[in-house]
Parts: sequence; structure tokens; C-alpha cells
Amino acid sequence: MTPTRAGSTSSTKKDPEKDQQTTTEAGSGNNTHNFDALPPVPMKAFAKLPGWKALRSMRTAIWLLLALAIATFIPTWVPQRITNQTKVQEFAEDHPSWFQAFDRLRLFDVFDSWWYIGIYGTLLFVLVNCLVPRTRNFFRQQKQAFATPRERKQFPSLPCHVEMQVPLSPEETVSLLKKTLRSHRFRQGNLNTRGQWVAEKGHLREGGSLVFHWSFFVLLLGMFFTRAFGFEGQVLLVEGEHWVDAPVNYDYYNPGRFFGPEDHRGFEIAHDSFEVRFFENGGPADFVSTVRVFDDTNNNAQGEKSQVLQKEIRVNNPLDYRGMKFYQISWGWAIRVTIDDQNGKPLFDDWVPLFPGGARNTWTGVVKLPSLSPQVGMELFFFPDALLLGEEEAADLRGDFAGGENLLIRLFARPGPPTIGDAVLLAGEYAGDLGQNTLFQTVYDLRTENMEGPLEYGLARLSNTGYRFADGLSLHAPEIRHYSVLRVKRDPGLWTVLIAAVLLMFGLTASLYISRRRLWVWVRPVEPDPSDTNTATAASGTDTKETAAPRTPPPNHNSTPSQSGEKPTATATESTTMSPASPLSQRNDVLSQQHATEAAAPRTPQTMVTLGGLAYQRKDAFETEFTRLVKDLQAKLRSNQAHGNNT
Amino acid sequence: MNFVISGFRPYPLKHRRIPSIFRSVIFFIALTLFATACSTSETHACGAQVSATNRPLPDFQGTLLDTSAFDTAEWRTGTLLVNVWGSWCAPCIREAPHLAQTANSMAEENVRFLGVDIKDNRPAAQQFEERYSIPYPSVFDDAGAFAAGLRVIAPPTTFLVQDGTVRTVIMGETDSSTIACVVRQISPPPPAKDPL
Repeated sequence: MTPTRAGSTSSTKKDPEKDQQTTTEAGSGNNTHNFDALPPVPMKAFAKLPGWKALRSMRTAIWLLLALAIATFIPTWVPQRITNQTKVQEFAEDHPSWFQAFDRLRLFDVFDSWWYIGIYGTLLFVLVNCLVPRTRNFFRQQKQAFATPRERKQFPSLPCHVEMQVPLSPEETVSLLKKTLRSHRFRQGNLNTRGQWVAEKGHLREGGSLVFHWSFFVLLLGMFFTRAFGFEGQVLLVEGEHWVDAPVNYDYYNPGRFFGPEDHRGFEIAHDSFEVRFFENGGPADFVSTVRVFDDTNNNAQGEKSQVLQKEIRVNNPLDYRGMKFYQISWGWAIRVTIDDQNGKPLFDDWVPLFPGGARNTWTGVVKLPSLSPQVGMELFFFPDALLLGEEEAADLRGDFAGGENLLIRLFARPGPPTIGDAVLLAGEYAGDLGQNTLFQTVYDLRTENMEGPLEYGLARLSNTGYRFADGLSLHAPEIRHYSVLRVKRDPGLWTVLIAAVLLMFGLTASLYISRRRLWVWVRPVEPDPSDTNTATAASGTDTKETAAPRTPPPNHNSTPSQSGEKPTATATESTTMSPASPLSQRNDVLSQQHATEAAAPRTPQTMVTLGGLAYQRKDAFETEFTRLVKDLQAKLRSNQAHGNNT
Repeated sequence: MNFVISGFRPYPLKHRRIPSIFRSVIFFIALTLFATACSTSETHACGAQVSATNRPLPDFQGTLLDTSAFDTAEWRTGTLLVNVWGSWCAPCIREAPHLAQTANSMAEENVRFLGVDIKDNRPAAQQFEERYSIPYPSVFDDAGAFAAGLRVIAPPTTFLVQDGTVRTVIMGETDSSTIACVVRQISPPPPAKDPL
């Protein structure tokens, strides 16, 4: 038997007779459905696969979500290749055996590992598998009658119930009740032959829950889409530099699985100028990179590139060109360094990016000369505005430039906003093996394990006063410029994720704050039985105590035989089930009480209304709602009665 | 107030066995693995890093390292080997002697060589050429524009171009035998001369 059979549809589909039958079979009013009596539904072939049931279970989805959450936390503890290759390499050098095991488990690239994708895929699959039947049921329930009408003796077991005698004909009562319930926005089922029907409210709870779950599914899908077809990179552009959009030109490059080199647009960006302004306290107020974009507007592969736009990229104001977004994230100084050999032949002439955070407030950078033998590396320290400390002040800092001259010990970069003043470049020279084949490094690090040094510190001022090292190399730092760091992104699933996240919140709110509640209504004429007059004594239901009041004896209810005869089969059933000793003889009858004093015509038709309600969530709130409904009903009845009397 | 309803439930509850979650997860992961295993591409005869392609050599006008003008139009005939490198790139340094040697040996076979020096500075690149006695010219592509057109992902990358069409890509460090293999695949060696 499939879970769908056990679901709600089977019970809602059944007609009252059938329900009645199963009830009697089970005995003692216990409404357990006898499924064995129903013909078995043939199972689909795939439903027999191992674990198929689990793949339809929300419980599995929760477990998978937990697994995904744990997997997503792994990069907090284990360095990832895509973000920090250096750390991964360090880990490999420090713990070679652990590295092997971790690498086999793909712990260094979790998000691209087969098991992460496997969990993700399974989660998406399970979600769909759960949600499709649920959604189908939801829409089916919108069309169909809901629950079966209740047995009379079950009404008292409902948390909220009330029974009242109404001086109206059953038809009038039904229309009045239906109208009232409609005004309370209850969706109502069909009246059955016994004068019973069911009203429901709060279907949006399930609707909201479905929206929540589907939004979550779309969110996961959107995130996958962004990851798979998106791309993230970072570029460092010195003022005046031209750059072409291609994988090779990124400083950090992390494409999605389905984002290939051919997906790059190949447009060119010229970084014309960079500006940074500071607040008085030294914090940066604004960074602006002014760029021009050149592209092949004729769209023929052989075409010349022409300028298509000029843009100032600011923080939170990215350049958006052909689906690529360029965000301003950082900036710094790049210094032009030239190194010549003893004969004046140039060996190096390039812009070297400098990064803040060096000793004594300096900016640091690296120059490598791998083509010399022995290889030479230089560690650069840049003082945007150099100060000369006093001997005593500098004493604590003595260790920073070990081996340097006395003057160096006293150099210090002025704190505060980095503006160029008395700019000094200090270069520590190392010679030996740069270790490019043996030691992991980026172009921005110098590994000095196999090198000697610092052999000497050279000091160049930001003019043409250079420095000649003992081995004949001469260092100059003729110019300084800004560089700008831009993060480049392509998020194809951005809008999907955003909309899904908003819908998710709406769905969640609806599913948390809306409660499903159901009313069972039973309307039947009161038999003109003189012995029944005692039982008409009014009493209140548990929840409508405030409406309860000392009751005066009820009026005579004498419905004409012709009127009761109009009611079909119902009358016969009711007369048998109704007994004075029944607990249902408690009646809340405000109206009859009123009309008793007015001495209504003895021929006034009398109708018994039984109303039972149940909330599946937020039960306390339902009590108030039920009371309000009953009060409203009574008011309507009263006004109806008054109106009827006038006419 | 008692909310527990005895004897009647609007929806029947059916007790089900707790499903074997882990069995299903293993099943699905196995499915993923199977799918991944099926998608691995076939390897090239000359090695795992080699792949065949078929796209035009992009147009590019610029300068060579020695500042003389360069235009791809002059390089669209015959067999051409394009090596993308940088003086700062360690695997490029390792493969440089092999490339120099192969270029010299293949000069007779009318295989031309061209270097593309990316993200570099001229003095350092010239120093590199001198040190490894590179016999062929190199384009100075500081902005990475030519490399972008060639769809280089990272240096070193070597391309075999036949009459203006890129036919083979060698990703990463290469050596003489791989280059020879790739060249042989495109243009078979001339028949050995009759000793008589």
C-alpha cells in the first residue's frame, strides 16, 4: 500500500455511507479505516527499488540537510584549494599522511567533491519526491468535499461544540448558517441527506508550507545554478594597465563546473585612474576606480575593439557589463621597480604591487629574478612617508631589519592615512634558489628557505636616487601608482535565489501563523414530542460559557407534521438517536429563551443546530474564534427572527 | 479543556516502519558516481594533458619582445607551435630547455615556433630568453589579449596550429617527446630518403 493511500485523499473521497459502514465494522465508534477491504493499488516498478520509500520521506530530507550543513562547515576547519592554495600546501608539508587521506576524501575541495554533489542532488530529489504528492493532494482538496460529516454522538468529543434550538425552519437555518460561515470565510462542503456538512478554514497553512518547501527547493536549485554556471574571480589592476577578460588574466579564478574559458567575453578594461579619500580619523571614505571598457561591438571575431563605456566603480556601485559584475573591494600602492646589472643592462622593470601590514607600518612586496644565477629575490618594504625615530625609540624595533645599517633601524612609516610624503623603498636582497620548483609559492611570496640573506638592504627614494648592491645590481623606484582590486562575478541564479528567499519567508509565516480549523454542522428539525420539552432546557457548551445564562423554560415547539414530513430520511434517524438521557440534551438556546417570553406562535417551526469545531493548530485562538462565530450566529438569528416577525 | 479526540481522527494515521534512509542515500550516491564515471572523456594518444580542438588562430597585432611589430597574418601558413609562457612561471622555466632543443631540431621540418610572453616585463623576459637560448621570437602580451584569444587557462600552454587552425592543445609543462608526438599526428614525417 502506498503512502498516498494512507493519506488524506482516501478519507475525503469516501462517501458517508461507506464511512458509516467502516465505523460499524470497527465497532465502538472507532473510525479506523479498513484498508484491506479496498482493492490494492498496483505499485510502479521504481517504487520497488531499495530505499524508494526513504526517498519519499521528509525525514530523509532533514537528514540530508543536516549532512549538507556539516559538509558546508568543513571549510571552516580544513583549508580549501579554491580559496587558499597556500594553506593547503602548508598542510601537505606539515602532515603528509593526513593530507593523503583528506585529499582522497576531497576535503580540500568540498564543494566540488562527488559526495557533496551527491548529497545535494539527493536532497533535491527527495524534496521533489515529497513535494509533488503533497502539492497534488493540496490542489485536489481544493476541489473536493473535505471530511465526512460527524456522527452525532461524536460532537461532544470536539473541543468546541454548541447545540442550539432555533425557531426557524431547517431550510432557513441552513441558508442562514451557510451565509454566516461564508462571511467568516469558511469553505463549505455539500449538505448531505441528513442535514450535515463540513466547513473548513486555514488551507493557506498547507499552502504556505508548500510555498515554503518549494521555495527552499528553488533556492537550492538557484544556488546550484549559480555555483555550476557562475564564476568568481579577482583582478589587480595598476593605474594605466589594460586587462582582457580571460581565465589567464585573473589573479584568483574560481569558475563553476559548467563555466568554461569560452564563456568569457574577451572584452578589455583600461584602468585609467584610482582615487581614495579618507575621513579625518584615517578611515577610507571612498574608493573610485575609473575604467573604460573596450569591446568588439560589431561582434565579428576579427573586429577591432572600440570603447563602449566609461565608468567609475565604487564600493556598492559595481560595473555591470555583459553579465559580469566588477566590484571594488580593495586598493593599494604599486611601485615601479627597475633593476639593472653592473653593466647597466636592465634585468627587471615592472610594477610591483605592495600590500599593507609589513613591519613598522610598511607596505611589502616581492621581486624575483629567476633568470640570474644564482637566483635573486628581493623583499620590498615601502614607507609611504618615512619617519626617522630617535635611537631609544627604535631600540625595541631592532630585530626588524637584521643586518641592516644603523639608519634602517630608525626608519618608521608614518601612521594614519597612507599618503605619499617622504617615500622610501627598502629592499632586502636574498641570493640562492628561489625554490620555484620545490616550494609552493605565489608570485607575491618569497620563500627564503634555500636562499642566503638578507645579504644587504638597499634604500631607494621615490625619485631617481637608487641604490647599488655589492654584487653590482642597482635598484631604482622611479614611480608609484595606485592599484585597485576588483572582484569579478557572474551570478546567473541571483534573481532566482532572491525571489525564492522572499517567497520562503512568506510561506514560512503563513505556515506558522495560519491554523487549520474545521466545523461540523448538523441541522435537523425538532420532533413535536411533548416529552421532549424538558430536554430543551438550555445549557451551554464548555467554550461558550459567557453566553450561558439561567434559562427560562423553553417554549412549546410544535412543528407541523407536514413540515417535518418535508425533511427527508433525516427525521427517522434523529428520532431514534435522540433520547432525554443523551449528553446532547444540553442545549444553548438563547433565542428560544427570548421568544418564550414573547410567547411566539405555537406553530413556530423549531430546528436543532449542532455545531462542533476543531483546530489542528493554535487551539486557544480557535476557542475565541468559535465563541465569536457562535455569538455572530446568534445575532444573525435574532435579527432574522425580528425581521421575520415584522413581515 | 481536553483536545485529545478519542475515537475519531479526520485523517487515518498509519504506522509505517522507519525507512532505511542510509540505504537510499548510498543508492543515490552510487548513482552519482556512476554518472560521473560515464562522463570522463577519452585521453589523447600523446598524453592526458593533450586535447584535440579545431578553432581559428585569433587575430592579434602587437609587438615582439624585441619591440618589432607582430601580426598573426604572417603566421597563418604551415605548421606552427605556439608556447605561452612567462619568466615568472616555474613550469615554464622547467620546459624552456626542451622547447629550445625541439625548436632547433624541428627547424628542418618546417615547423615554426612562436612564444607568447604574458603578464611579464621586457627586461626579465629577455633575460629568460637569453638564459635558455630560445631560438624563436616571442610576442610580448602584457595585457593577456592574445592569450585570451587563444583561450589559455594558465601558462604554460602549448598549441599546435596547422594553416591558421588551432588543432591541439597541450596544457601545462611539456617536453620534446610530447611535442614530437603531437606534430607527428598532424603532419606525418617525410618519407625517409632512399639511401641509394
